[in-house]
Amino acid sequence: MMDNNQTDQGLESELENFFMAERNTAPALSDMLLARIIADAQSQLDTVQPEPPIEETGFFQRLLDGIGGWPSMAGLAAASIVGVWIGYVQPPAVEPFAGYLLSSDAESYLYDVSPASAIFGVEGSS
Amino acid sequence: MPFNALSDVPDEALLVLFANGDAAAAQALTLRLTPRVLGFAVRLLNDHAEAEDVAQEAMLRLWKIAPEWRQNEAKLTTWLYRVVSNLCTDRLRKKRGVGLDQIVEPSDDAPGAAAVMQTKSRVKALQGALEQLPERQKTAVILRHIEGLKNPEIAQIMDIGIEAVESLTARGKRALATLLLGRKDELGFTDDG
Repeated sequence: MMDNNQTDQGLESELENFFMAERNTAPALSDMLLARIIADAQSQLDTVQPEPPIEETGFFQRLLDGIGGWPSMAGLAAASIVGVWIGYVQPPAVEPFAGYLLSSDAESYLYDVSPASAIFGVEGSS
Repeated sequence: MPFNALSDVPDEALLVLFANGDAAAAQALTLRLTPRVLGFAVRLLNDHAEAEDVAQEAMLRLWKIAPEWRQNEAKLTTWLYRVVSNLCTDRLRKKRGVGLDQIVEPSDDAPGAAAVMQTKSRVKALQGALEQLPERQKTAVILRHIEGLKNPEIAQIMDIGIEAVESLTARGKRALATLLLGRKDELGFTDDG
């Protein structure tokens, strides 16, 4: 038994000399191979571009998008300027309408369009 | 990211950087992994030119899988060893039929006195003996005793159980001992102690 163990250890140690010699002998690594591998990596990068990060949109950007973007904003600004101009200059053509709409003589009526709802308003019916 | 700053970054993190478009990460991975990939392929194939093709193909597969790589799933080197092993197996199967006379053997006139020459002839003798092992034994012995991997990692690479790895390496070493140590006198090894 002892002899067998010693034989195994001897074989292990002899084989280890061969393995060590092999471990210390690195195969030659050519620059050409490294260049080929890096070129492959680069062409892979060129074909698969990562998706651009999604930009965070701010409050005003979302508001602008909501009303239809810059063209709508231009129309809104133009209408506001015209409104201010009309108010300031008060052109004669506008005056009759303004007088009618803003005078104290203008009347308005409020009436009940649903008479059936009056049932709920009758007091002491029971 | 500057190239020097990548020296401490783990392989798996470098691959994620590459997947995000970092060319410096690809360069760092190439310089770090190619020597191991090439060395393993050379030992399996015993053909430097073919081993270079395998190394390039294995690295190309790495670049392609990068966008789908999930960290913590596997070690990058384990995955690469497995790819290289499979690529070499395919090539060896195509080449099957190569006679023993075509296997690289130590030259008969190898000088035995100088230590350097003895190392060279040991390497040649080992390569010749490895060529005569069955493919699975050869792969297991190379991964365990030359690449220095642990049995659980070898089991993952070869897709077998740990006990099967132990059995393959034990049988491989016995066969190598018979092939190599029976030729000690012929190879002129004198300082084996």
